[in-house]
Amino acid sequence: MVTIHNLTKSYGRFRALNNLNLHIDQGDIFGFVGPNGAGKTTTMRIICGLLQADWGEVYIDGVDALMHNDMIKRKVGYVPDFFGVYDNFKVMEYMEFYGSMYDLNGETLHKTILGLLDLVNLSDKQDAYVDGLSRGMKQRLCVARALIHNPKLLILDEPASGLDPRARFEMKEVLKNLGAMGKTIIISSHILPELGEMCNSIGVMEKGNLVASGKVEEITRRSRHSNPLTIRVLDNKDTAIQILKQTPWVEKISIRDDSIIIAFSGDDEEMSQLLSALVTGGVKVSNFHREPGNLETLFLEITGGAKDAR
Amino acid sequence: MLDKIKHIRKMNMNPILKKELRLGSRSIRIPLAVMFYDIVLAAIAVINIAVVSMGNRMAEDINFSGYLSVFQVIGWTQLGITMLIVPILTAGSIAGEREKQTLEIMLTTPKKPITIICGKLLASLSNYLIFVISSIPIMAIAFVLGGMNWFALLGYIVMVIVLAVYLGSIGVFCSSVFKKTIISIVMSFLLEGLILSIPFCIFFGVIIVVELVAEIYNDAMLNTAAAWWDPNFGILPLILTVHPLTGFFDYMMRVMNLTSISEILKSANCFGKIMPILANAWIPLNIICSGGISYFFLRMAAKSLNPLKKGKKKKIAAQNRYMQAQQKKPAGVPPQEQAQLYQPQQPPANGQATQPPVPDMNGITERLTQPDLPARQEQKESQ
Ligand SMILES: Nc1ncnc2c1ncn2[C@@H]1O[C@H](COP(=O)(O)OP(=O)(O)OP(=O)(O)O)[C@@H](O)[C@H]1O
Ligand SMILES: [Mg+2]
Repeated sequence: MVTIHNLTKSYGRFRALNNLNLHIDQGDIFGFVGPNGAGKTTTMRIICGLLQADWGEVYIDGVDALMHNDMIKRKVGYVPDFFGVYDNFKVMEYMEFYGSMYDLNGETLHKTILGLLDLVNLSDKQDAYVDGLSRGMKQRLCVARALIHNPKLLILDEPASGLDPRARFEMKEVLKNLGAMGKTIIISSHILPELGEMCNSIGVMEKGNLVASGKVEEITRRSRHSNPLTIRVLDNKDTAIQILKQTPWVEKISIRDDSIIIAFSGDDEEMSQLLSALVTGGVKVSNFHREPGNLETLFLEITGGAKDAR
Repeated sequence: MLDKIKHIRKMNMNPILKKELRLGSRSIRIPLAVMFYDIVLAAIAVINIAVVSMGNRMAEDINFSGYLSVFQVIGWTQLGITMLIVPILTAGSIAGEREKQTLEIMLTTPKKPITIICGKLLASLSNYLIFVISSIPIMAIAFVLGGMNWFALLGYIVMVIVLAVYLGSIGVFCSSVFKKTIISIVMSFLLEGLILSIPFCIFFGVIIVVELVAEIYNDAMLNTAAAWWDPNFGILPLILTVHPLTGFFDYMMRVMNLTSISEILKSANCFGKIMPILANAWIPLNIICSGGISYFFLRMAAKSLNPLKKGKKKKIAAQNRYMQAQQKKPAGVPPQEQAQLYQPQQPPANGQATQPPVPDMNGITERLTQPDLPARQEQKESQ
């Protein structure tokens, strides 16, 4: 659905995107994460034809987006990281205006709008002024607006930012429904765990490059392997340490109370070998586990340092 | 049948114009401004009539053509106000949309920038038109009292609208070039002043230069020619053809039965027979010139709105072709940029140096499994 090849964009001398490569399959819900200034918004704006790239290729649904940007406008719906609403408009009029921008009108447009408002749970707000909507409602209205021409690709720039947990949940529900409708969706966010729930694939961006990408399960499984292993022993701690020191995959050993925490680079197979070695060595193991994979820690790991993460 | 026509007309109406009209009808600002405007015009008209009537009474003889001056006074006042309000009405149009951040969203729709520009201009001009139309009854006093005909009034409205389109295009142009409404308003006044004064500057500049030259050489012939109304000089006012105000002046002078610029042109003895024809067609010519300049400004405005420039597209295509040709080299970046680009990403000595930083789509890139790449180290150090 979306293929980006060698995309580069500079603001003056500063290179915001640096030969970015990316592929998103049809029907994917793709989470785009990265610290502030990683270039997520820049990438999205280029895809929508709002920004000129320096070079590179962007294909959307087989169309070269950089060369034929007029052809992709009906394929893409964009929700920017700001609202962009007219204060004196009612919800219905706001939607009608954007419908008319796509040459839609009359009864069909009206029906489409009602359907979309229903989708984003704003049916009862049809006649309310946009001005008076809450932040979460405005955000959802913007999603409905971006869907007015039934685009194949929906791009959402930080749709959950500034929303309270409830509004965030509602937004998530909307996106889930859209995913079920078979739309390809790109979502950018700083909040990685949440993306993990919504998306089926994610890409981590840093300094204008994609540093990791893939299916969510794949990435969480990988990240699991870098988490420490906790072993609780009832006695024979010294024997246990002795055994651990002999095991090749154990990299670092630290002791906290009656637990031994080790950095372990082996896979699941090697983990079970270690456990049986401990047990046959006469160590009474009461707890042996690895922290579950966590996108947050993965994110910090990839982007290197907690300071950049938020 | 009527329904069908209505439907088609609805479809073809510029969506931005439609939106603006809808929003505008909610605001009380324009009606208030129009009311104030009409009160001022009416006051001026009443004072004028009073003065003319007083003169008539003293002369003990009614001079109806004196009431023509009502038309004149209102006409000139309206011209001045046009020059004042049109930039204000138009200069905020695109900049305001930008400030509300709705411009970006508009640009993601299939509507072309020129459609957005024209919609905005038409919306502003429709507001302006309310001012003009509301002033018609006041101007019509002139013909109730005699000395005017409807045709002259119609002509006046056409002329003032041509001028408004001209000034409006300049305003919209400034609005799309300058990001802030305030700056845009100031700049469109400046640009308006500049453009309106340049032809006059050339005109009088040439006259002054000729006069000076005549003075220095004491040339009698040149000296007489230096008078701008001199027939020999007839070609010079032609410069003013591009100037929308002169068309307006010419029209007003004709209505007032004064010697108009085109009369002077007619008697000029250059270009042979073409000159009289030109002179007769001067006002239409002037309108066409104004239209052309307006079109130019609107095009420029649309161009500045369009985020993707045509020339740049060709450049990208060329660059991409070049990069494809360079595929074997690391990621095919132009040589002069390679060093700067890849330094941070090159792993020290594990044989990865020739691989471009293309992520592995099915898994994770090297960064994850080899956490100690220089880029990360750098970052840690900098913290
Ligand atoms: N108009 C601009 N002029 C100059 N630099 C810009 C401009 N827009 C973005 N940048 C720079 O480009 C880089 C990438 O910006 P971008 O907005 O794409 O980041 P982002 O990943 O969306 O960040 P955030 O998470 O904060 O939204 C930033 O370092 C930013 O400073
Ligand atoms: Mg951003």
